[in-house]
Amino acid sequence: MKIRADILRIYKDVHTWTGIIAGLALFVAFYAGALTVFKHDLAAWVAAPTPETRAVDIGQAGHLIEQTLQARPEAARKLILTLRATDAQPGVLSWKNPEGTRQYLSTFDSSGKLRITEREPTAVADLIDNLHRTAGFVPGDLELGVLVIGVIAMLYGLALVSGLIILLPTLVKDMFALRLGKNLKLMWKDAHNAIGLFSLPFHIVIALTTVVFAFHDQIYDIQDALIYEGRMIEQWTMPAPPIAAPSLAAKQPEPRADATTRRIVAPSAILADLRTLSPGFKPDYMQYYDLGGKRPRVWVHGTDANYMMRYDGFAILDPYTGEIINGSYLPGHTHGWTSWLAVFFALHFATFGGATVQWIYFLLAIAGAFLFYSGNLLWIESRRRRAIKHGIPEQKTSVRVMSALTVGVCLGCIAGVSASLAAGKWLHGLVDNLNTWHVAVYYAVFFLSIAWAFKRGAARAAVELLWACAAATAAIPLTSLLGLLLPFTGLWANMSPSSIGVDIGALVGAACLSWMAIATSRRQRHGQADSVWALARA
Amino acid sequence: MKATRQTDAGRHTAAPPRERSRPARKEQEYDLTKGWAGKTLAGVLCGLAIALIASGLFMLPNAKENMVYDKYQIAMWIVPPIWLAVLSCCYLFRDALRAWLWLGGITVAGFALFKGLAG
Repeated sequence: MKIRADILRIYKDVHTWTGIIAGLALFVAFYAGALTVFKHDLAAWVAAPTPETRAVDIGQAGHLIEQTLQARPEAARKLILTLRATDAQPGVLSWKNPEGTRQYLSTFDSSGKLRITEREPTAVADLIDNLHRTAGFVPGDLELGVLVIGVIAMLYGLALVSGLIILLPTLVKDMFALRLGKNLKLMWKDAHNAIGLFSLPFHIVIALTTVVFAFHDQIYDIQDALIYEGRMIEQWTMPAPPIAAPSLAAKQPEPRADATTRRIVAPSAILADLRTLSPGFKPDYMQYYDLGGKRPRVWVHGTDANYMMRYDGFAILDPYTGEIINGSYLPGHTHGWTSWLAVFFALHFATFGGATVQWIYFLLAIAGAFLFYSGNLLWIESRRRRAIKHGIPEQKTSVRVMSALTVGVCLGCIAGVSASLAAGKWLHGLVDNLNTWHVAVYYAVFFLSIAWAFKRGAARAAVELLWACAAATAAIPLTSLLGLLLPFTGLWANMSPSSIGVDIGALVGAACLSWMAIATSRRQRHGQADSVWALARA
Repeated sequence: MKATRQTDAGRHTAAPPRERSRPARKEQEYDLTKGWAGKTLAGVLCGLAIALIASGLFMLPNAKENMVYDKYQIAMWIVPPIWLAVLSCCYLFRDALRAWLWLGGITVAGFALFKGLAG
């Protein structure tokens, strides 16, 4: 395709500038985003065992809720009945204090007596998610970080459009080209273009959905004034299309009991209704809100890999009558515009197609992180001063700063996440607030890596930090191994498929990072001497 | 964003009018990097405004009294794609003033159209 040279020129500038501003933040967001796909497995890996909690028999769950509320009325605010247990969340009734720092677990012991224990729940799944949503910007301020990422996502969208435009004239020629060989810049460029082009649909979806997730409140506020003249609340509170609960259809409606004597519907009855309505729906947990209050609700969350789900599938019911208040996201009952919403969400969160799609998204996100890393490398390669005849030139400050930042931020993020996860087991029992320590360890490793990259120069630091990444990542399966072989150390290894999967994944990751360290070290010694990656330049 | 090459603007590349058989005159090239900041600002602000107006048009008829479930959420979702599309195109204008006049004009006309239709 032929495009005017002046148009190509401006979009090349747009691509360069948006890329260089947003690239590093996007690397972090994508690396953490890839891990977000498996965030519950990561939490399962780190979670301390809770040996004294017997899983609840679903037939007794109603009694458990009633007895628990008598013993602990404050739990009525928000109660979770876990149906599918993980290492991080036993299959019992649980609630948290308002700060979310303590979790209370309630179940019947072997003699049928109510037993309530408490612990500090692991927040690893949320912490990974927060890193993904903010790229670690503005530590401690989630909302501001999300807004910053909204701006980054707009730059990212602009980089995608401009990148596509400047690729168009040579599209056919370059599409399947991967010119390996002497010209390293050409090879990196081919790889950058190939990954960018073939994962373009994924990237467009991620860019646009991210802008929505960052700015939806602001957009709604303007629309409220512009379109609804201050009455958007009517849109917001519009009742969902009605779905009748099968068990209620046969019965005569009973007169409402008064609030003091009414009893909750047995959870097993609610689940039976949902099973009838949506046979493939696998419930994960039931979340009760405001029991005994004015607006009691129970949200039943679960999944069905045959449908595209908004984060997950769910139905909202009245816990005292069993009526379905909103079933528009129950798999198979999503209609009209709601089904579009489910599609938009599912395309961002990989909540469709089960494990296959989750792994595809994991790989696409890792490839995305590579896209931004290679983009920075191209920027550096285009600007470095080459050796002409005598000696090796001094590189420009911008090139030195950018190469150190690229190495420090990208590798610091990888090492930080791995170290933070492994530290969860080593610090368990030694510190009071483990979840704060997870964050502290991440930022300590992240900023130290950046400082190290500036101190040592990009070339030396790249090899050293890659080894640090490999070591931190290898620490994950090694910690499990130690816990298994030497339990007296206080370490442990969870044996669920989720947790073992994390161990195997980390082992593969550590091997990849070691290979990268060896390759980088080889290039440092034997590659072009005027490269920013050559040892002589470091 | 600085201009990296001499601009071709103003140079006559048109074929003499009598040579009918030749293709239409070559399109003129401009230095599109000129005024990039103004263009970006026009793209960001007018792009957002145009996208919001488009979402309003999407809610028609009965924008205020819409009874279609969840349609208002789709109206929010269509804002970012249109916003990004306008922002992506703003660099095609010859200079910042033209970007502002065109995009600003579309915004004003679109707003008037929406207010006219929504009542």
